[in-house]
Amino acid sequence: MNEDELAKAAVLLAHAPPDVPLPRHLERRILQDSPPARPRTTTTQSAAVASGASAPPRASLVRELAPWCLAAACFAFAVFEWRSAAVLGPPRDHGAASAPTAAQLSTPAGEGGATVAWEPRSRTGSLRLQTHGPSFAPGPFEHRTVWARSVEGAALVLATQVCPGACAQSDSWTLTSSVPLRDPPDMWMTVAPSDGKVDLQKATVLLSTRWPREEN
Amino acid sequence: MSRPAPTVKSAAVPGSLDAPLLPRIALGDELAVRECLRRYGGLVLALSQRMSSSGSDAEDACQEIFLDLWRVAATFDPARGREVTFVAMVARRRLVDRYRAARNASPRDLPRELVLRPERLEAHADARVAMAALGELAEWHQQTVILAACYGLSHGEIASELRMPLGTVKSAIRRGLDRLKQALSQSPEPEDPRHERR
Repeated sequence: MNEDELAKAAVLLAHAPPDVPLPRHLERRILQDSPPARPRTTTTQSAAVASGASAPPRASLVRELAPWCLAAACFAFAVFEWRSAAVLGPPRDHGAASAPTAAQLSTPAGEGGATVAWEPRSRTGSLRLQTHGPSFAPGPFEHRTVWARSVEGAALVLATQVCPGACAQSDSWTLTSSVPLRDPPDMWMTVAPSDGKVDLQKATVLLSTRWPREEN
Repeated sequence: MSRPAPTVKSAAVPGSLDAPLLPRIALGDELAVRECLRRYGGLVLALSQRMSSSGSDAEDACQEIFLDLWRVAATFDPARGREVTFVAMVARRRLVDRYRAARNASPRDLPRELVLRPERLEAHADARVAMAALGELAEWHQQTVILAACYGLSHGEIASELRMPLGTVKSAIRRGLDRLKQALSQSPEPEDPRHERR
């Protein structure tokens, strides 16, 4: 509705001939292509404008909005799936998805190990690590560290334990990760001598989910 | 069981409070569609007949105009103009396109009556404004504006038809439309339906 066009329309009105009756057959032809009779392509008018007269049929509004709602739901689902794949790693296969809540860590010789458990479909937050076997008898002044690989490939420290004090109290650890971990978890535990200070340069790998380790 | 033919004039009651229909049409209100046909059908068909070569051609144009109107109904803003003027604007676009195409296919004579019509003045506020703004102009000046605004003729075509210098035609049309736009901007607020007399 620009001013130029409105001005020309005003001239057209001032120059218009007298009205002529609209024939019934022409009225029918026009009504056949009226908005309620054909698929609509555009409606974004405020309801307040329409409130001054008879209300628009609710059924047509519902019919019109339904495809948009469906499209919005599909879009939201697609975004959710994409985010899951991009941030949390590739989806698990069906068999793994049914009970993927535990993974095993073991010593190189297999005489000891640990089980790590986590909430299904959650690779952040709380994990439970339960150690077993003779290798976990508390040694003198050890510093144990549980590591995990994030989906971005970074090595993360999930928990530390100073032995023999903490090691003697419990063989069950609650680990916490604030970032998504690989699935299944790529975890390992290192042990470093600790006599007042920790020397990680001398740490050795005690447990791992994949042994022998392919990477440090 | 024949029903009486619709009377086009029935809505043209001076002083009637005709609320805009196009926003309701944009929302799919079928009653508003029928009322719109009753309110503007006679005007649109009259305009179509004047610029068409035959009755069937005029009916086709009329149908196309209302299809255009349904399509752009959501763009009508009652605060920016009167509904009847918006309808005339949509009709003008379609009719000018058809008129140009017809003239290109077979040259046609210009309409004989290139004057503003006082019978419209009671019906439409914007027509009154146009008459007030352009009525004092010389007849040739009015003709240039009418040929440009109503028939979509180019400046060159108007200069040729009226046998006037092109520059004179250009400046005359520009001055006429500027004068009209200024008058329209000073007319009463369009959103108040009491200002629209149909």
